[in-house]
Amino acid sequence: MDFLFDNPLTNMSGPLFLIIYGLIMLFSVIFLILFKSNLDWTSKLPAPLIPTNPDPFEIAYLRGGENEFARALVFALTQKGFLNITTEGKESYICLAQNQPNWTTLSQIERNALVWFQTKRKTSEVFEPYGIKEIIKPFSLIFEQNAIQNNLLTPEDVKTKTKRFSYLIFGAIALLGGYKLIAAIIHGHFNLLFLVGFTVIGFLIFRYLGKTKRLSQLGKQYVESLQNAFERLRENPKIAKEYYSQSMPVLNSVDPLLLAMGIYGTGVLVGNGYSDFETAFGKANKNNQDSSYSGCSSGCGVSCDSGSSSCSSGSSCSGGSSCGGGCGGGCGGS
Amino acid sequence: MEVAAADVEAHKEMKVGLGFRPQLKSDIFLHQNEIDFLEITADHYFEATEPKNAELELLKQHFPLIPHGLGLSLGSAEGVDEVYLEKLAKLVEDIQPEWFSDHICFTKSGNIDIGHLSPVPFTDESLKVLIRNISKVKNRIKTPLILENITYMFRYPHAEMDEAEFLKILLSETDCGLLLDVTNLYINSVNHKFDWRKFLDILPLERIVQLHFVGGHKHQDYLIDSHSQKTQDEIWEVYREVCQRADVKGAILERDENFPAFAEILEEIKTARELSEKSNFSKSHDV
Repeated sequence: MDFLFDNPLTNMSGPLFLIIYGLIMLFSVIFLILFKSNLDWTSKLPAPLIPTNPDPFEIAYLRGGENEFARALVFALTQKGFLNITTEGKESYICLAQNQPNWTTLSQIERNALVWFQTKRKTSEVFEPYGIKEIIKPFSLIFEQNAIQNNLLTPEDVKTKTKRFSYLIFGAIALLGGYKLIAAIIHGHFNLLFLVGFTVIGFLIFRYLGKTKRLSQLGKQYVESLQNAFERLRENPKIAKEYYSQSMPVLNSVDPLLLAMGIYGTGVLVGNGYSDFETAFGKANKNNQDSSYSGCSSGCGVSCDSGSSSCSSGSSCSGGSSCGGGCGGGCGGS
Repeated sequence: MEVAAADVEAHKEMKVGLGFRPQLKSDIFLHQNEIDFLEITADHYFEATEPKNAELELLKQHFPLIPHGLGLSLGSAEGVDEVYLEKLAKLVEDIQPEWFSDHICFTKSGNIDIGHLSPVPFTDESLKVLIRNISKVKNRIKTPLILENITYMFRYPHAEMDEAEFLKILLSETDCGLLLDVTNLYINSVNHKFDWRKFLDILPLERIVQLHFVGGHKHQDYLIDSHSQKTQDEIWEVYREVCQRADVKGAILERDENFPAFAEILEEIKTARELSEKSNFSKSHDV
C-alpha cells in the first residue's frame, strides 16, 4: 500500500506531472487522429462515377442532409416562379406566387412541397421538424439508402469503433489523472485546479474526436469530385446559365443553377440575381441557430458532424436528418 | 515499325473524342456517354496544383486519356529538354495511355522558348535532328509516341523534299505513328496550293493512328488554324477521305477558342463518328 501512494509518480512535483500528463494527452490525440483516418475503410473504395444526369436534390441531401435538400427544393420552386420570398421587417416569408405556372411541369417531389406552401411560411419554418421536412422524408429516405449503399455516409461500425476507442484512451488518461489526484490529496496537496482543468479539457477534446463526420471519406471524396467536375458552375453560375441556355434549355435535363446550388450551397447564388434567397436563408439559419435547431457546421456540408451536440442521439443524426437548420448553407460561391 | 505499330494495332478502337478544355468540363461530364476519349494537354499537368491533380484523377476515372504534348520540341537541334522529358514521362506513367503525341516542330531554340509551334525545314538535316530526338524520347518513354503535322505560314527555302515525303521518311525511320491533323493538312494545302489527296497518296496511311479536326478561319488570303470554328465542309471531306483510306484508331475534336454551345460540339463529334463508321462499313464491303 505504501508503494501505491509513495512512488516516483505520486512523489513527482505537480508542474512536472502536468507536463508529462499534457504530453501523454497530446500524443494520444495525435494517435487517435491517425487511428480515425485509418479506421474509415471507405477511403479505399473507388469513388462513384459522376452521373450524366445528376439529381441536384440528392446531391444537396448528400452534402447537408434534409436541410440542404429542403433549401434546394424551395430554390427550385422559387426559380420556376411558383414561390416568392418576401421580407417583412427582420423576418423573411415564403408564399405562393400570385400567378402560378402550370403544376404539371413539376416533379412529384416539387408538387408535394408546394402543397405545404399553401400557407405563408417563415423561411425558418423550412428547417423545423414536422414541416416540409416531413413531406420530403420519403425522398430523403431514398437518398439516404442510396448514400448508405454507396458507402458515402460514415458506416455504423466506424462510428462505434471511433467512439469506443476515444473514450477508452480518455479513460486510461483519466485513470492516471485520478490516481495522481488521490495521491496528491493523501499527501495533503490540494492545489489540484490545473490537474482537474487538464482532465476536463482532455475530456472535451476526446469527446470531440470520438465523433465522426456524417460523410464517409468516400462520400467526402465524391462531393469533392462533383465540385471539381462542375466547378465552372461555381465560378459564375449566371454566365454558366446563359452559356448553357444557348445549347439547351437545361443542362442534360438539369437546371445549372439548381445543380450549382445542390453542389455548392446557397453561397453560390450571391450576385446572381438570387441574393435575396441567400440572404433570407442566411437569416433563417441564424434564427434557427438561436433557437438551437442547428448543430451543424456552416461549411460545405461535408463536415457536418453526425454526433452534433444538438442531436438527441448519434443514431438519429446519422443521415443529417435531425441535425437542425443551419447545415452547409454557406458553401462555395466565393 | 515492328514495335510501335504492333503496339498501336493491338489497341482497341477508340473512336471519337474531344480535346479537354476546362471551360467544357461540366458538359463533358454530363455527356460522358457521347465522348469516347479525351485528349489532355500534357503540359498543363506538369507540376500541377492540387486542384489540377484532382482534375486529372477525375478525368482518369471517367475517360481513356491521351496526353498531347506541346513542348517536347522534337525539331530542336540542341536536343530534347531533359527536364521536360522527365515530366512528360512521369505523366505518361501515371496515365498509362495507349499512346501519347507531340508535334513535328520546334518550340525552343538556343534554350529560348519560342512559345509557338514552329515548322522545321524539310531537309535531311532536320530529319536527322528529329530522328535523334525521337529516339531519345522513345528510350525514356516506352508508350508509343505519335507525331502530329502542323501548319506553316511559309516554306523554308532550299527544302530538299515536300512535307509528305518528309513525313514518310520520318515515320519510317522513327517507327512512330502519325497523328494526322486533317485541318492542318487542309489549311496547308490551301495556303501552299497543293492537292491534299496527292499528299495522302504519298503518306504511309497505315501509320495513321489518330486524327485531329476542327474549323479554322480565313485571314486575308490565308487560312489560320485558330481552332475556333465549326469544322468546315472541306475539312470534313479530308476527314472522310482519310477514314476511307486508313484504319484510324481515334479522332479528336480540337476546339480551343470561341466555344460554342456544347450541343454544337456534340453534333461535330456525332458527325465524325458517323463518317468513320460509314468508312469502316464501306471498307469492310470492299473486302
